[in-house]
Amino acid sequence: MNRLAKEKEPRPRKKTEPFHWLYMLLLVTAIQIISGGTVLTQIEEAQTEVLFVFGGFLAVEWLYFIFARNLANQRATELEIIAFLLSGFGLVTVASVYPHYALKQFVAILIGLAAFVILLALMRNVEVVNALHIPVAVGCVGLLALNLLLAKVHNGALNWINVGGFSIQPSEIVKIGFIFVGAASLEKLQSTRSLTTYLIFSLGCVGALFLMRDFGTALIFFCTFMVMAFMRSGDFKTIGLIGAGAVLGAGLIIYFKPYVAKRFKAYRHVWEYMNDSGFQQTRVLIYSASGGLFGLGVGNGRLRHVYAATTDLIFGVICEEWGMIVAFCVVLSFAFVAVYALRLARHARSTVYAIAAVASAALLLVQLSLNVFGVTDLLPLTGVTLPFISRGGTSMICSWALFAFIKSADIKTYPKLEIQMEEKA
Amino acid sequence: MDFNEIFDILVIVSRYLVAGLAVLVLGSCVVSLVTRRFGTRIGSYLYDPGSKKRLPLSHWENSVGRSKTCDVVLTLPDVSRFHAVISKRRSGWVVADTHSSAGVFVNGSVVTKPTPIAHGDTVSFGSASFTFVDADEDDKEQEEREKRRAFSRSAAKRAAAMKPEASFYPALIDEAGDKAYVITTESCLFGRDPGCDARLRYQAVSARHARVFSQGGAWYIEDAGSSNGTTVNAKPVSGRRRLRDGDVIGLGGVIFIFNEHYKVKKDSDGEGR
Repeated sequence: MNRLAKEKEPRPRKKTEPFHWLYMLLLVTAIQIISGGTVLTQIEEAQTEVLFVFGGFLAVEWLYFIFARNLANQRATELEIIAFLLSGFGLVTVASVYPHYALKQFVAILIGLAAFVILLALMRNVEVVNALHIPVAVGCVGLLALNLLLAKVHNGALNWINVGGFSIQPSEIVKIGFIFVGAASLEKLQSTRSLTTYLIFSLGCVGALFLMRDFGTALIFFCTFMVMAFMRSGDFKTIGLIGAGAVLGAGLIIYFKPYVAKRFKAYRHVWEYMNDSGFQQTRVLIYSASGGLFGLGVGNGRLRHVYAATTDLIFGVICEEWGMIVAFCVVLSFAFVAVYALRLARHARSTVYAIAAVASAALLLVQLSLNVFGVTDLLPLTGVTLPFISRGGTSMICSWALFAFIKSADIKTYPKLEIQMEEKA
Repeated sequence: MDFNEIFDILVIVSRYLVAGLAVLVLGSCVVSLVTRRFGTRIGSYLYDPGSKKRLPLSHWENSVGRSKTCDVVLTLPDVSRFHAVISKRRSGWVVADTHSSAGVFVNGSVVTKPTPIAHGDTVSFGSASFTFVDADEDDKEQEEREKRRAFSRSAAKRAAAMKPEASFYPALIDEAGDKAYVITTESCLFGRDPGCDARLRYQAVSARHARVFSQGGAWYIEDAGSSNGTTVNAKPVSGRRRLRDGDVIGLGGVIFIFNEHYKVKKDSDGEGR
């Protein structure tokens, strides 16, 4: 078997890179300079501030790649290219609607990038991940409990807390912890066969989100939990049971809580409630259609004047002002990142990485679907953000952190470990 | 055309440009992500000395147990469904017992916490025992073996090239030192009978007395059912006995000296008498 495997292995080929980071970086920079330039000509206030923010963003982007390439010897940087491309689209769109918010969004990207690098360093060693499980789990539950105690009602949900002038959304940070706690090594999974402990932790998280009335995030957590439970147990029966129980529970909640039912009333009937509960969805549909393939141009759209244009409805703004092609690029990039995560999982160094990568990709896809299909009335509008693009600091940090989980599953991220492998091959 | 009109044209151009570039960037990222090859080979395995089978450990983490979902499936009654996990960590290979009923043992001692295993260690899952073969060490051993083989081949060639006049064979030399019975074959039968490889015309030597043969590069002697017996350094031989240069061999009381490197002239083939 051993020798057979050896023969199957492809002969070492000449080292040609199908993806050249510098070339890609130049293209991304070109996109950002063109789009940023257009935004600068269009906005009427805070132009110098926005100019500095765009300049700072480009500088950070280049510094990251130069450091990653030369100091950390990173050779597979596709994920970062995608992350910077999407963050850049988000930044220019947010800046074009709310020029004063550009700086905050830029700071969020910086913190997100820092989180990305720190998580990659943490994930290097399986033992470290195993050791941090319990502290992180306790921290997550504590954060949600604190949220429930301190939160003020915001858009019908209790998921915001104020810390020193910044309003943060703890549920976004808990997403990172949720995946971190769920990612365990095979040895740990096999010694604790039952899902009970993890199930209790997950139920605690989802329950807290229900109490906060943040149904969108609760749904994201639940779907991610299903993926992780399957990855952990490899057993469809367990998952089926959990799924059936959850659907039943959700049905009962909707039945008994008229509030929830009212929120979903407009679903699939948006045109009947065009000017009240279906206002946002109908406007997204109308204005996206008018954008066409190449869009109306920055600042020419009308969706920007609708409430929550840069958060929940940002996909509509991109469709209208940048066009369908750019919007499809945004959606497809997440789909292909998910395909990449699945391929990585098969060759991961440990189930820790396989679970973290697949769960992160699933979380991003679910959140993207809830957002995109929510505003286009294919799913109920639940008010979740579009990863990397929507205005919102904690959401941006969470998106970068999830990409770190995917990248950590790639052996190329840790060149020193990779050398050991190549010597053997 | 005023300034504003130029701007308007630039805005229109930028829309097409941004869309095109975005497709280009995403396209190359996707091609790179989806077509990446993962050339990983772990190559270590568990060797079962009984059936001479290899159970490959083809992942970084391998589950061992009776369950069909395990990476290494052992269908034995005392192996638990999920018995153990063998994983490759930065420090090396580690085996951990995952609450099995019959236990995991490394070289006979029970495993209570994740225990490092080295090349050649015996790893047991209940009653099933295996030798752990680390791919790195296995490859190294094979390389060394090949090197040694290549070296001995070249050494033989060099020796042949340097001394074209003579070659060396082991031989039995009689007590007086004037007769040498050279052994040119792998196995040589000594005796009085004409059918023997080396004929000894002594009364005390049986018709088929003793056999000298080589095995694994060493020379041995064994008695071929003689009536008066065979001795090496005055000790009687039962079964086979290793011969060393200068050993004194007695065949029915007749004394010979074993010379492992007897010089034979090139032109004289066969036994020089």
